[in-house]
Amino acid sequence: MHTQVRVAVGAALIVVASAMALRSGWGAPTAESDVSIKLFQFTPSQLEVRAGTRITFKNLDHTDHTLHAGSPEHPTDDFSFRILPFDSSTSIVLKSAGRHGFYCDRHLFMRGEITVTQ
Amino acid sequence: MLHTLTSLALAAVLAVPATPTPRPSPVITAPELKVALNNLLSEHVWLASAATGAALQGRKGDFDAAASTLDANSVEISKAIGMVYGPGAETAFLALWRKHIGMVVDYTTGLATKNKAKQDKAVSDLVAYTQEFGAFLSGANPNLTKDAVAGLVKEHVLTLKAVIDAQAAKDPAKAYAAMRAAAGHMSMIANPLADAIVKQFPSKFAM
Repeated sequence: MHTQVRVAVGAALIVVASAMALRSGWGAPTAESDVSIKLFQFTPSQLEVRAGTRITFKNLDHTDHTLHAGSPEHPTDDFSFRILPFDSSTSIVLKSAGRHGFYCDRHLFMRGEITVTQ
Repeated sequence: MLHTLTSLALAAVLAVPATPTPRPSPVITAPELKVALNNLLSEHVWLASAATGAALQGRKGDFDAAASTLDANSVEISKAIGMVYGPGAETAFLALWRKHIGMVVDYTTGLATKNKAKQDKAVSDLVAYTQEFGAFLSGANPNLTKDAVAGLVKEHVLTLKAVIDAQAAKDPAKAYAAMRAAAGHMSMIANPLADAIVKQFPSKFAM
């Protein structure tokens, strides 16, 4: 897997795993949600999920993107995927309620937010 | 302005739902689309050249006006893209487009300050940018390949660089000749882009 994964667990418990591992049955998310990366946009860029939902990001652009937690102005250490090549996927599972921003640090205009409810 | 009117017409036709019944008559033709994109993209070169020339000569008032007008041109180009591919694509395109203008500004600043490292980084960033721009347009339109778009945009970067280099060398004859070449080259982007859009959405454009 080409993706370098750095996981930091702060106040919120956040589990990050590769889509491949998840497809093989790792983890037990309560639901799934997909975010596509296409035309330099996260779609949907705003989503609301229940805690424990597995959210899979798939890059459909023929260029690399990244996925980081927070915003360019206020990054957090919750999750950080350095490179998402074309046609690759990666997933996160957020277990703490609240609003979790995400962005691509190669294209700072690419941003989104996940609202997690219990 | 012609392209503004054409853009409005483009907005009118593309605002129609994708599966209307009965099908509306297109209010813009494929040739009009091509003319509009040619106008917008050649205008981009003239305004960028005006901005870099003013910057290199320290004419702040001229630079501010040229840069502001250049950005208005960028917004109009992005609106044309947005009318075809939607508001999300419009926003992303504008951000990407402005990104390359920022790199051109960096190159110009590097020249003005004789900072070779800054110039080299700007050129390197611009070359990398051509791949991203190619990815965007090829992602939007299957009739465009990433490599073809990247190659055309790289040529745009190089022809504009020739303008800026001549301006920095205080060689107006060379600079204006380079401007003509750079503006003329934009048809190499506008024409295939227009053709690809019409091919992708043939029902939306009268021939």
